[in-house]
Amino acid sequence: MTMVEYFSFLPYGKYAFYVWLAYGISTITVITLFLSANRNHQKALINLKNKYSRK
Amino acid sequence: MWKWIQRQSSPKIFYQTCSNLTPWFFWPFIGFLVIGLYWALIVSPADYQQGDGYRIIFIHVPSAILSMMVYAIMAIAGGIGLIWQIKMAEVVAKVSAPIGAAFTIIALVSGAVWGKPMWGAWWVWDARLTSELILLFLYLAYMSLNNAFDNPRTAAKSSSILALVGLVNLPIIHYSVKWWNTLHQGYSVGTGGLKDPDMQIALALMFVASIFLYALLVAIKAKTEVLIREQNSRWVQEEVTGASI
Amino acid sequence: MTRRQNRMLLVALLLFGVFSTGYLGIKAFNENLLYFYTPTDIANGKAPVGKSFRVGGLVEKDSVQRQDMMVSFVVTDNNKSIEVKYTGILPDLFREGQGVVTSGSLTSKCIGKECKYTFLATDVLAKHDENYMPPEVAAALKSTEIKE
Repeated sequence: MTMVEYFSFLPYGKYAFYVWLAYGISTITVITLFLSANRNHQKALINLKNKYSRK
Repeated sequence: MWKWIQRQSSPKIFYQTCSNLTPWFFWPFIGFLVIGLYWALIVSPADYQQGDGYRIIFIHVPSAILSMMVYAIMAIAGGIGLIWQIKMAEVVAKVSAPIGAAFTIIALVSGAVWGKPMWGAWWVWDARLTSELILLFLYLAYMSLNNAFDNPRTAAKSSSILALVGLVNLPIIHYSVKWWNTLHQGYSVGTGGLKDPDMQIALALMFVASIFLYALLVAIKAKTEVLIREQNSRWVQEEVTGASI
Repeated sequence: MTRRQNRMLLVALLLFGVFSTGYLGIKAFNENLLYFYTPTDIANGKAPVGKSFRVGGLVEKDSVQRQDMMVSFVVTDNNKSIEVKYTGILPDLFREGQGVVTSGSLTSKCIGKECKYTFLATDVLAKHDENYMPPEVAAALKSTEIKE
């Protein structure tokens, strides 16, 4: 059984694998971008805080 | 007007504006995304040729438009930074690059996943697909050039020139389907290619959501960049430690 | 001239240079950027004979014939057309009246002075158009077309 057939129980039947793959990859990319932007900002704040307290 | 621009481009005011705007970008993004996905996946009818497979258009087209729009913004902001030496324009250009690259990757990957069932191939070397791939390489070159210098001003200068040179690729991507025989189909947006009103609404909602996403990410990333660039100034120290010195 | 105007001029010159180079480059490599040739190109002798290349156009109505795994059909650009032979699996969107791009090479069979060209395809890709609509709308559009 191919992947395409395996996922055909989902909505959109024979195209389910492709549609959900595209939406899935996009969702993961967007979430990663958002979380990494936030994490980098927190990291910068902590680094600067440490730098100022060392003075 | 000029005074307002100068005021906005002071790092401190810019940082505060970004902070204030963040929720105004975040919530509309979530709102448009949720309604847009509902319209794209549930309300819109299936296509007469492609069945439900065409639904990939609702992420493919917005991310492809954004990949070009963000590049234009990046190049223009870089050009403004070069000519008027506005530091905050350099910041906007720099932080736009990874976001634009991500949109390009989404456009390429969603296109490949769409091409496999419809065309019968994940990838072909036609003019549209190749020029979009070159756009990704331009983003990556911009990012690595920007990171190659220690001095942020020198980095901004050289990478802005690269961004302006790469601007020539945008009309090539846009007109590729018109100028040459390509496997990629012609324009659906702006020519009435989407015949169903629900399809049009879904695409419009997803497009607006993508714009808010870009704005949101720029606001967050620009704040980080400003903090690092201005770390020796007094207001950053106050901002970070949360106390006046 | 102030320094700012100087920089403005430099950026303008840079953009002008890049865009004119781009324009000339595109004009020079125009042929190489074509993904496929049309049947008219082949009739005009523009296609590279003896090498493998791609032909694109619409699958002519009522031209598809199947023999086991072998399919033959006519690709047309509403001006000239060419017969294509292919063995293998066709993509989902392969339909009569729809776009198609095939890669392969040209063969000719000559009986006397009359030559018949056949394109032996190794690969067939479907090319769909830019229109998306539900089946009802497609049916309605078709019926108005017939009335006209």
